[in-house]
Amino acid sequence: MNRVSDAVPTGSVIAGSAAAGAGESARSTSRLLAPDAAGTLIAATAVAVAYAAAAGVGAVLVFPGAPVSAVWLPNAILLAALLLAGPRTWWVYLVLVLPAHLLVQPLLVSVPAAHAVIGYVGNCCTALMGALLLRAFMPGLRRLDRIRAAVIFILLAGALVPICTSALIAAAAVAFNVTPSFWLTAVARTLTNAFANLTLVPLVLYGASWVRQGCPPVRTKSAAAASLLVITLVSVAVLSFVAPRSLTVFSSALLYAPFVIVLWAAVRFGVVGACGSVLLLGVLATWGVLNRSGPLVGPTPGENVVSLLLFLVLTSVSLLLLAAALEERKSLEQESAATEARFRTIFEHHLMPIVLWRSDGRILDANEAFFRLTGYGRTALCSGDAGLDALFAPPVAAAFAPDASARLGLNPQAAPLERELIAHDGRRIPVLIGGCRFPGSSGEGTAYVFDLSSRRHAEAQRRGAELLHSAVLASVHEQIAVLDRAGVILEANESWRRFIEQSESLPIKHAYLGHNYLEVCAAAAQGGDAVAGELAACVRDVLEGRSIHRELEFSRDTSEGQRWYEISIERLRRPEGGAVVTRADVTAHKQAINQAREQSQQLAHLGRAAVLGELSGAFAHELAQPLTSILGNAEAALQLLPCDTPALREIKDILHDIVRDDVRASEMIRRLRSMLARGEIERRPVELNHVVRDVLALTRSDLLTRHVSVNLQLDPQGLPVLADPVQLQQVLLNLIVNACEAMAENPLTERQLTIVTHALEGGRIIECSVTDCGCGIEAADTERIFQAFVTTKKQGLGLGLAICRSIIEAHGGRLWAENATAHRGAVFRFTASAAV
Amino acid sequence: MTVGVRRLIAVVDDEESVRRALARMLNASQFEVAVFASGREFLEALQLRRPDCVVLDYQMPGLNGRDVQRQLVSAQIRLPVIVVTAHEQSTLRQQCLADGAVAYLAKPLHRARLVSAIDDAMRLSDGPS
Repeated sequence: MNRVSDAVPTGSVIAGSAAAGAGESARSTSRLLAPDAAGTLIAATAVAVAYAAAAGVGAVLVFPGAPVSAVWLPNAILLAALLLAGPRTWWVYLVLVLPAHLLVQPLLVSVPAAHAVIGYVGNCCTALMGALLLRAFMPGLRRLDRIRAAVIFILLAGALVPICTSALIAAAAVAFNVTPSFWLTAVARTLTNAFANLTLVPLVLYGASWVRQGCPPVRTKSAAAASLLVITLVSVAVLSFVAPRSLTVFSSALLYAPFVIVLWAAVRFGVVGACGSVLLLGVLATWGVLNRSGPLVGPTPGENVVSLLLFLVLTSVSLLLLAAALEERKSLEQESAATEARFRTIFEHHLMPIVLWRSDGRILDANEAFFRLTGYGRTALCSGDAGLDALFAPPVAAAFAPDASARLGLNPQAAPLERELIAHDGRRIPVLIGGCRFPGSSGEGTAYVFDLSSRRHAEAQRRGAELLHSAVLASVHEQIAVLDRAGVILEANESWRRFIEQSESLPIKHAYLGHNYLEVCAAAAQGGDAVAGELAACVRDVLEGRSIHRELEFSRDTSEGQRWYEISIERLRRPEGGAVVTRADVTAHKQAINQAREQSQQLAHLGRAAVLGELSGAFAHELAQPLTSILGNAEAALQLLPCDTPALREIKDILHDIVRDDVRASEMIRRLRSMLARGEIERRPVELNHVVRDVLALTRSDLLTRHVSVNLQLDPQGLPVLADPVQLQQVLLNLIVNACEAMAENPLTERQLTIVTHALEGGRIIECSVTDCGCGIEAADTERIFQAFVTTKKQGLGLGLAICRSIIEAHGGRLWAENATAHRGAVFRFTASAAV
Repeated sequence: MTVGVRRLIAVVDDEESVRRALARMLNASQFEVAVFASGREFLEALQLRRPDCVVLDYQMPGLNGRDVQRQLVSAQIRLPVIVVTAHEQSTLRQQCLADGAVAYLAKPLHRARLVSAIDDAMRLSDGPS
């Protein structure tokens, strides 16, 4: 309670209204938020102005004859400002309030300067103590939307701080003879500060919060309700507290009339409504008491003040608690709704099928994933058509304990159970079911279902693949072992197991699962097995990534004779690396290859013999010619020798001719012998042009007989090819004989054979062509003639060209036929690799 | 043809070594020998001098032995012809003999046999005179 005499020291400034002071304080609050010094200075100045204005209002509401003010708001303004400002700037506010306090008070009441200073110190201490305590117990206080916060605020700002500071101020006032009554001063000051703190500080805090949110517009409906509320409250308050007693004979009974309005305000607008309406009510009630109107007009001014302030404080406390409770409930409801919405969204959109159940097994709800999985609709499931027992097999009731949580084995520690979910269409889906009971609910809970179909399918596929893998390995005749990156044998088939069991090599007997194959090979190599050493090197090459594939072929002498084996090492195509070792007995394959090669050679030989047979007459002529010369010369010499003077020069010439003809006959025989030989195929660099000339020498007589002229166009650079010379002669011989036969029906002057040799592709490939002037080849026959037993001649087996093609292809070349373009006839071309 | 006069024998063969050898052999047997590398060359030379006997190779490029025989017949030139060949075939022998050859000899040729055949041929040629 501030008496007029101590209203001056406590800074009683009569200016403006309480509403204006609150609005100013709200504006100043926004400036207090400015972090810079200028902002702080502006905010503190605004607070000082509001302080002075509020002090003026307080001075207006002083009872005549009683040195107290019913509504003293400056301390509450300063407390709210300190709560919103940082502690480091508090001193600015306190300093700027001092001039406002000292400037305003002389205009109102004439008191000594010392008394004014005491009032200033008392006000500052009240605000500082309140700010420190509230910051300590309610850090970051901005709203009173919790009952606990409201209770603490009431205890600190509405009780502890006013009581303590008022007791000290009252004592000081008594000591300085400002007032004779300690108790009256203390009680009055306590009540007026408590009322101001309980109503104005929350209003300022909420106003600051509204400004901080960017001053969101107030809805029209709310504004209208607020306006109606203010009008109603003012009307009722005026009627109850301000109207002359002669007009309101029931003024005592109307004491509680405004209570309905302030209750409405608290319910409708929360803390702001409660504090604002009570503050407004307090101002009007004070006005009424000042004019000795209303129900609180007692015999003494002091009693009137105490009664009014007690009424206002108790009303403030009640409404503040009510508003806080309502706000808390509203806030909790909003949080609850938001939480429920979040969980509902999670529930509905969760990929995992989820179901909500009741202790009797009925399904309360399920999410879309569950509907998709089961094929049931929400209506069917939630209407009880399909309970949990009907959905899962084996029946869950038998598997779970009778109470609701154990029914599904659903507690957080229990492992999920594997069951079959019976879908709407009768499908049985393997699932994993788990869940829990809702805490505190009456036997309701949730269960999640994990569809195991994909996993089961994958497992079945994996098992099938493993079985197939094992079956394949077991059925493979070759011995197979799989090595890891280090060479350790991971897997081997039955054939491998039998091989190592039957092996006579002791190290090899250890080449089984878990053993290192490289070490086994190394041990075998140390025992004198050269193949094992080579094999280890091959395996190491593959394991260490130098090769992706290696092969090794070797033979062993066994009781069954020589056996051939082939070991292939293939890199295992997986990130961890490794290799697959395959060991196969290739003896039969080897024998077949040898047999095929022998047969091929025999066939080629038969082919040569057949061609040579056709040319036997020509060969006889070629041999008879030199023999005729030799015989003639020898007999001529014999005739000459018996003479007395033998013509030695003539005899010498004769002998030279004999030698030359003998050489010629020998060459002929050599060629025939080489053609008829059955030696091994030996590829070596051969001059193709020489081969052509050799074959032409063999066929010279035949060509002569057939009246075939030869046009030779041999590459002058020389064309070494990598080939077996005999086989090359055979091919050329065949082609020349065929060409001659193709021209048999031609006039004698139109039998020309053209042989061309030249290099292709920069000398890497050599090509030879044999062209005749025959009737050519039908287009359909250009390939057919190379098939075995296909011939266009009256005689012959039709093997010649087939053999020729197999010979050329075995040399890595190509043999084909086409028709000549410059004239009629056929061209046979073959290629061979040049000997580098 | 008179005894003591060297008879002229024409040797027609495409191979020089054979021509040379036969010429030497016949020279040693007291014949005069004229050699020709082809039938055409021989036929052309007939206009200058006619031999007493012809040793004619059958297998030659251009005109072969039978062709030459036919040319002689068609030109009504009667010359004893001895066909020599490396192809000893009965069919060919018969054809050559049918075309008027007095002998058909297979190479290689023995001197005694060739001389005997020449003598026989010339006797046959001289006989009516």
